[in-house]
Amino acid sequence: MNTKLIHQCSSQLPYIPYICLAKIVSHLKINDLCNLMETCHQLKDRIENEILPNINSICLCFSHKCPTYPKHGLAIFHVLPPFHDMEFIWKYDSIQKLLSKRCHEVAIIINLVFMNEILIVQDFFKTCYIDGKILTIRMTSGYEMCDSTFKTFPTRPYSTEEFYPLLGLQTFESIEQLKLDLIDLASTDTDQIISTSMNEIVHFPLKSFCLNIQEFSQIIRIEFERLCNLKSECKFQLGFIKFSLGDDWRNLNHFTNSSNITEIDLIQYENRSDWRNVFVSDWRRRRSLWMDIYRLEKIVRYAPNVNTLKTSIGSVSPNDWSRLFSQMSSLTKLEIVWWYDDKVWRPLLKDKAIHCSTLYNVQHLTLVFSNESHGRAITLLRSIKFPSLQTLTLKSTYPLFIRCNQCNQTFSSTYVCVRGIYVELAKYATNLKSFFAFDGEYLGKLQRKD
Amino acid sequence: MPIIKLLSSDEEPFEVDVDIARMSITLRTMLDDLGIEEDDGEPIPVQNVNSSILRKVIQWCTYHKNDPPTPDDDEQREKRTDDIPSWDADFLKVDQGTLFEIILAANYLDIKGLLDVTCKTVANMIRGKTPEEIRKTFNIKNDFTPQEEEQIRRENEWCEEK
Repeated sequence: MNTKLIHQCSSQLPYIPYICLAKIVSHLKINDLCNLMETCHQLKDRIENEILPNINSICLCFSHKCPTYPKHGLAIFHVLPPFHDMEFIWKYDSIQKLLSKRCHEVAIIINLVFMNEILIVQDFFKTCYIDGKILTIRMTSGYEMCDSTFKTFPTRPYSTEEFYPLLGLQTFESIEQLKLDLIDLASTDTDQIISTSMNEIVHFPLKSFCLNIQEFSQIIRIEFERLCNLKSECKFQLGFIKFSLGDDWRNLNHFTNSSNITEIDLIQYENRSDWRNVFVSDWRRRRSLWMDIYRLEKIVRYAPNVNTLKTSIGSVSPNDWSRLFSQMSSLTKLEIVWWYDDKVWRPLLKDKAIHCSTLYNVQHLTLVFSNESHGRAITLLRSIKFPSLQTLTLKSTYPLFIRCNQCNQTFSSTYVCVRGIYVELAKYATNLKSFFAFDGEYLGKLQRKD
Repeated sequence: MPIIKLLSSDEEPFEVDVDIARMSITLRTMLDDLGIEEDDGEPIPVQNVNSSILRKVIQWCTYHKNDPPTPDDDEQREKRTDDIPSWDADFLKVDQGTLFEIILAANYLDIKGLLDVTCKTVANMIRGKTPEEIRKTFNIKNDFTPQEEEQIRRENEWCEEK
């Protein structure tokens, strides 16, 4: 920073250090930013040459979700580090010069309700430069993206057949990382879009492709399978809400080696109200699945090497879990979230449906408690024998565990001593080496001394 | 509480609690590198900050010494400028020269909270103003020719609220 220069000038604003200017600009809407650029050469040059080229992520929102409800064709720029909290709105045709610089990720949200948005997107696609960038295209059926003002908007004025040729995905022929997010679309629309787009995508030099959809239909299966076979070097990720075929898993098995699936994570998508029950699997790397117990059971049958299961047990009966666990002989890591539903667990406590044989190989167990169930969960814990258990972690989103004033030991709110649980468990879990307790803060670790 | 001595650019010494000085990442690094835990007689020079600004910076840090750590910028976090605490707003009711001197000091001393709040204050002074109003507010000289001005206006016309 040239302080001499500052003092020679009448204003300090145009000459403040880069990071300070970036922070100031990050709080401005685009019209304020444009007005600032119109004040003097120095600010115009600095914003154009120092600030804008450092935008490295852009979200183009062609919907009415834009915070200030601008005109059609305005876009949200989402800026990642070093200005990653900067957000402003820009017209699509001003984006090219930014795209040609540092930006490496573009997200486009297209609301299919509005035909003129499609035209703008088409126009944009033809001209923008996105080589070497990550491209996310999210298409929505429109209504959930609209302001309440638009809730009564009539049905979509055109068909997908009319729409898709307009989109012109082929303009992205050099894209290497593509995410197509069609989760908000009806299955018929998705099928149409996928069957058309796959013919174009197959020519892309794809290194990764992520597809999020509602339903895994026969058409999508065939197209996805074809793409997987043709793009052996590409990493695929697939997300969908529900199976539509009776033997989906077997069908999936045609193009993926299910023995590679080692981890099932049902918790990951549990709290995503928008994508509830989403099944996600990266076929070549981490495997994450979410679906109901019966689907899960089918997967377990075809994926015998699952060793890690993360799950909530709220909506499934303990007998189902018990049956499932008994099939997962390779299971060594288990994480359970106890949400609620005493009715589900009472019989389990009574019948000891899960017993040592079903969890014989579990070495690492994590239990996450909710407020009303943790006492019972602890009681349950005492009834389960874990001969292979090495690490037990107790977590709670509430401050469940309190410290005893007299002995300084930690108790749960139902006055079950956590140390007591450890001692109790240790009687059965003879291999237990580590015990961790958290209730929002790390409570402590007990290490077996003998 | 251990005390250290800071020396402003105009050589005025300031005695400061170590914990308060350590709110500046620049000073913290310096103290750690030099192994200084308390006053050892030698004042630490703060070369780029004069005494009036250093006094203000110390005042701000003293008031905020028990604040929780400023979270790292989160890309999902909503960007707001209407959340400046009233104490800070009063504290920053200073002439514009002083405000920019505090920004420079916060940047030099690497005090994120102070830099954030001062930059928000400047952003608030820009928001909703026309170019001419911004010039007037910040005493910026219009060095565009009328032709240049017209051209920029045309380029930016699209973003004007209609």
